[in-house]
Amino acid sequence: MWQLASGIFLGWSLGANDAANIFGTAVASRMIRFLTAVIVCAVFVLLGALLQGQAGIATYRALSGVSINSAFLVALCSALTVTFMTYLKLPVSTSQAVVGSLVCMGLTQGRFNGEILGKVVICWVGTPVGGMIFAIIIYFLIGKFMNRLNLNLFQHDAYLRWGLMIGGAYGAYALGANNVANVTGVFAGPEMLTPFEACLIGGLSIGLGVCTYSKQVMITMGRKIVKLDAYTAFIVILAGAITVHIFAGIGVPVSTSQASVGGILGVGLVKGVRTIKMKKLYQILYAWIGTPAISFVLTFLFYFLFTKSGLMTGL
Amino acid sequence: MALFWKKQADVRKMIDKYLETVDLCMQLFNQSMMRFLNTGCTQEFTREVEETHKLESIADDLRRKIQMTLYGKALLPDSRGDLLTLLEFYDKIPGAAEDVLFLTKVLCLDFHEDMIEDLQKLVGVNVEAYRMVRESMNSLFENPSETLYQTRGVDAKESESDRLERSLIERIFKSDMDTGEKMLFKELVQLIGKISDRAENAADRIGIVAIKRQI
Repeated sequence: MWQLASGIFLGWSLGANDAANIFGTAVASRMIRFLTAVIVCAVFVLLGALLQGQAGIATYRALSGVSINSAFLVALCSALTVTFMTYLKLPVSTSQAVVGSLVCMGLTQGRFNGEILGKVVICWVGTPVGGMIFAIIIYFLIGKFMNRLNLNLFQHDAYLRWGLMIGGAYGAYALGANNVANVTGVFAGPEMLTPFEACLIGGLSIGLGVCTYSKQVMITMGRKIVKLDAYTAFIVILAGAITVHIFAGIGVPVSTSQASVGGILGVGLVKGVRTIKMKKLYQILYAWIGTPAISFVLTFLFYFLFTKSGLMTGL
Repeated sequence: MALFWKKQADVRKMIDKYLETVDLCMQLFNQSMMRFLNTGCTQEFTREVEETHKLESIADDLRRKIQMTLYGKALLPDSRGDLLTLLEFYDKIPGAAEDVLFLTKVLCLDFHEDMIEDLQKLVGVNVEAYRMVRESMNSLFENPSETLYQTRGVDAKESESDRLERSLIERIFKSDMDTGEKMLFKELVQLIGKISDRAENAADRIGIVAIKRQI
């Protein structure tokens, strides 16, 4: 099972990157200590993966049943795509990279399931939209509740700290539940990993990425959105977590970054910010099309390289 | 994690202690100014001026300690920034009171009898402006929905102080004092008025902190 290494690598990079969507604001602005954040994040990612990660894994199996070597190629090409997109500083969606690669493998092997792909694409569009709608709803609901409590400065501060911690833990749980399929979903199947094993290994590799390499990404991401005050940061985290968790239940891996961006847009609309950055919207659009497309092309190239050269058989 | 809740409780205790010290400082300011206006530059007055100075220094030290604890990551950045700015504004009130006492002690001016009552009134109004800003502070920490209502009272006191200040300055310049004396009296009157100016600035900050926490 050496092929699983590419999946673990993908999980590690996903954990390192996506933890920033959850605890970036709190850590970068020193609301929560990095050590506390990574422990909470890693534990809840693993819990989410083990308790609710299997639906996403079932979707990936249905999208295209692939062999162990194909699974290796899918994870490798997805990881390379994510790395390339990160290098270009474009918003990255691991699930879109994996799906792009899976579709390519499915088409080349004649096992493509268009119906499932349709469901996945609809969910991609639904992610930022869902993040935005939830942000607007919970902004008002929680705001009304907090105003009624007539909290003083210290109580307000304490409630928000707890909110950021609980919202972050929930976000980590949703990340594990939703994104574990991106990491080891393609390795689950007969004569490969059982769904539980896939969830465990995927959850652990994401957790490892969170613990070992997420600090700089958290700080970079956190400083980008730290202009949000603590309350709006909490709303963005919670809205993103709810959205991603819902998609975990449906069984479609989606992007936590795009859920967060949707949340930020929602808060921007509520607060009457006239400067919703069109550049940011175009970036999301490019990422929607670009990430699966690059992953698709990369997989296609590697597939022919490996099969023609005889480097890898059983693809 | 329990550490940041403890830090928050520590900050709250320190702020309470700081506010109590400023209370004592302002009480002593009022007492010593009234003593000066009734009995002049006596030894007792000088002693009270020294005591007020000591209390102001203690309050300053406490404020610095609060600052250091806040920089040590107690509270969220928003709350931290708001509290630091608020304390900076608040601390200017006892600072102004100390300046008044220092100038009074150094000049030991002899006021005209007919101005004493107005001066007492001016000191009283300024001390009252402080008392109101203190209540606004209490409200911010205990019952925030009342805070904005409380801060409006400070504004009214500041306007009253302005009126008294102008009328006193007019009377000073209409009196038969020599020009040098007139300038010194004017400076002292204006310095007393600064207490309510600073109280108004602090009240504005308190209002902003309260509004920012309404969602």
